[in-house]
Amino acid sequence: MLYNHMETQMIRIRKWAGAIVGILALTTSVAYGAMASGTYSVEFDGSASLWDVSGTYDASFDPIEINYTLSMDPSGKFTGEGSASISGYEDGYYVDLHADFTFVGSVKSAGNVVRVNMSMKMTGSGEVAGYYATFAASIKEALEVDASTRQLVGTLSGKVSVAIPGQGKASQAIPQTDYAVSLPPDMSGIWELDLDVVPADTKYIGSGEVRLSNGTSFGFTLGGTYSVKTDLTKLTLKGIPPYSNLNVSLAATNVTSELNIQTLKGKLLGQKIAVTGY
Amino acid sequence: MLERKFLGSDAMTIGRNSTPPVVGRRRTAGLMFGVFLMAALIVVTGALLSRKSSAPAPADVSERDSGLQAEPPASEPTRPPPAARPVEIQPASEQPDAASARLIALLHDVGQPLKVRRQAARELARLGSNAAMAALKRALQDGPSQLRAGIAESLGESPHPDATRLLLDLLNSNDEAAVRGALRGFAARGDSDAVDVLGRTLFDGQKSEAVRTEAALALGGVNQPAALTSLTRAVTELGDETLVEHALEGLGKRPLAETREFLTGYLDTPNVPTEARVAAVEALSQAPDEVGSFLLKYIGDSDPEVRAAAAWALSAAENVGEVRDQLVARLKQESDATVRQRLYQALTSQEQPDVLAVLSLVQQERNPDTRLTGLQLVAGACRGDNAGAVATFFNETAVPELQGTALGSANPQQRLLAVMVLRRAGTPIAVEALQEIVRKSPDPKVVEAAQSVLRQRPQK
Repeated sequence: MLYNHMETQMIRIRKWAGAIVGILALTTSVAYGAMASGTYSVEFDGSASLWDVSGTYDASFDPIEINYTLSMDPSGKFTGEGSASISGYEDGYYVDLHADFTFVGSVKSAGNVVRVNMSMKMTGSGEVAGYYATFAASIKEALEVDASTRQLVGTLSGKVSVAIPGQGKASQAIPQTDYAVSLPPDMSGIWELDLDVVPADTKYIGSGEVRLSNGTSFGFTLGGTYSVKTDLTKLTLKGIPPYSNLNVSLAATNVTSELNIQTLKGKLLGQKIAVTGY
Repeated sequence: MLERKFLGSDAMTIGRNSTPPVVGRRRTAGLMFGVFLMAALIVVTGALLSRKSSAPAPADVSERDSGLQAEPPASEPTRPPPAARPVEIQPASEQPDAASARLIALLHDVGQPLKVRRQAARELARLGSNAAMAALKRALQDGPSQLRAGIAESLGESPHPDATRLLLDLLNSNDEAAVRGALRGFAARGDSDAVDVLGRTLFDGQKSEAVRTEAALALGGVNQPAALTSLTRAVTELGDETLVEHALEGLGKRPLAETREFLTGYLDTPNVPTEARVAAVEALSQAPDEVGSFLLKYIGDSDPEVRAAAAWALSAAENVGEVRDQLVARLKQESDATVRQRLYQALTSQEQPDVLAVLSLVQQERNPDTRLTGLQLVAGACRGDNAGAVATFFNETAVPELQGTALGSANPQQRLLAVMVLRRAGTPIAVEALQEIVRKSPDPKVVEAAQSVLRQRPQK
């Protein structure tokens, strides 16, 4: 109900089953009808995408070079380190400045929008018009993921202040300014859910893994139940500590031929995932 | 003098959230934030120097329009900032002037990056001329979704008489990004009608979650008592977890002075779910005023998720005051590895944290993520002349360890973080490690991160 995943969902399902797993599956299907068994891999994209902003962002705009690296944890929080430098004549002043900056931010979703909030603090020093100057800036960015262009798009605003020993201090607001930056090329939003399901009576045990398009993965312990009456397999995946606040739950049918997911819900990387019926 | 100019009676105000643009040739530098930042820096520095060289300072146009706020002498009372920015409506004309024509060309140029087109739209909206409005309307019809969203948002800053009507029309758009942009546009307008629109959207069960949460966030930026009322109502009356979390986030964007009483009551109410308490605490990272003393209470909360949230908010908030000693004291007591990780982050965000006081704790960390974050804190204290024991530990113990993590950890996040920590340290030994990582790492992301540091090291 939260969103219409039917329209945009592009989920490809494949099942990997070795000979031993196949025999096990056959055995269990005899015993329990359509109980899941073996390894499954399900790929998600579209409105079920997961976005990880980790990576290096590099820009060179003569004479300014800026780059920074962000690292995001499984809860959707991220930190970053970066630097910028400029050397040359600007507005008639000779400028030679270097600045370091740090980022703190988070990613959250609501419905089909994924929002990225970021705070940047910057400090630097150097020469401006023959004077030694120190400066500081704080900037807030409110962005969202544009899946179609794989960009973070939004606005930033903040404040910059300058101090020149013997001359004084001054500050200026940075007005709301539009901003967009491409996500790292390996971040497509596509992610894969790998399951290793072991039936035990009418219950399941096993393990799972979520793998993002950039290679980052998170492990899960798997539990679940099977209802003969409804032919419904329910699986619950809980993040392995220290990522125990990650969770995914799904309900599937017809699991002997493929993992036919009816519903999938979860929270990963600060983003809520809700998939219904396909 | 600044105030008088800003509040001229002939001026049309556009809401309290607007900020003045930088004028002149620097204006277009806002198209890229780094360029913009440096430009702002140079403008401030130049104005500072020119003021010093010709006292009393002339109240020239560039100073007024750049929004320059020179800090007054200590003995002089601080003057409140102007409540609103005046925008003069340009006379209607069939032909745009050269500057507008250039912006219109950028707006419609499909070959331009999205941020350039959006910024052009924003500046056209601010101009408010008929030609600018006509161009914006055309782009709304044929532009990509995120451009339409940007235009919608920018209309909130437009003095053109059609802007509000257009915003209302956009609320019914089939393009949800544009609808959300329009809500942000109403927030920029910031008047009572805007609050009414946003409040109705937040409580409209027929609207999507993405739209309703946008309304909640937008209300957080509107300086009207009714906006606060809508948000507190949403927190207490709406049952949906996501909506409540975003209403709390909206509240967090407002001054703590306004929300303290409500948030205290909410956080102390029994049976409030952990997720909601976490959202309430984390939301304070967006508050414009000092939040450190409030958040310190919650780094001692009984729920480790709330403690972690409070520490994270302390790391992300702009103004937390002096909390270093309390963070160190809490770190010494904290048993949860995730909370300690957030406490290290909060200390890292502090100016000149007492790294020596927590060095032994970092050395004892066993959880890989927590230890890396602790090393990130230590790295920041390695470059000073008096780094002493901190630098010795970092160079002799941490650098080899970080190099090993960057090259050998199975966790991509840890590999990347290890490079970031080496970058932060910037010691010669750390740089050597980065060079080694570039040579040996099979992970292109790690190589790219390390290379970017080596490319940009200042020549000393």
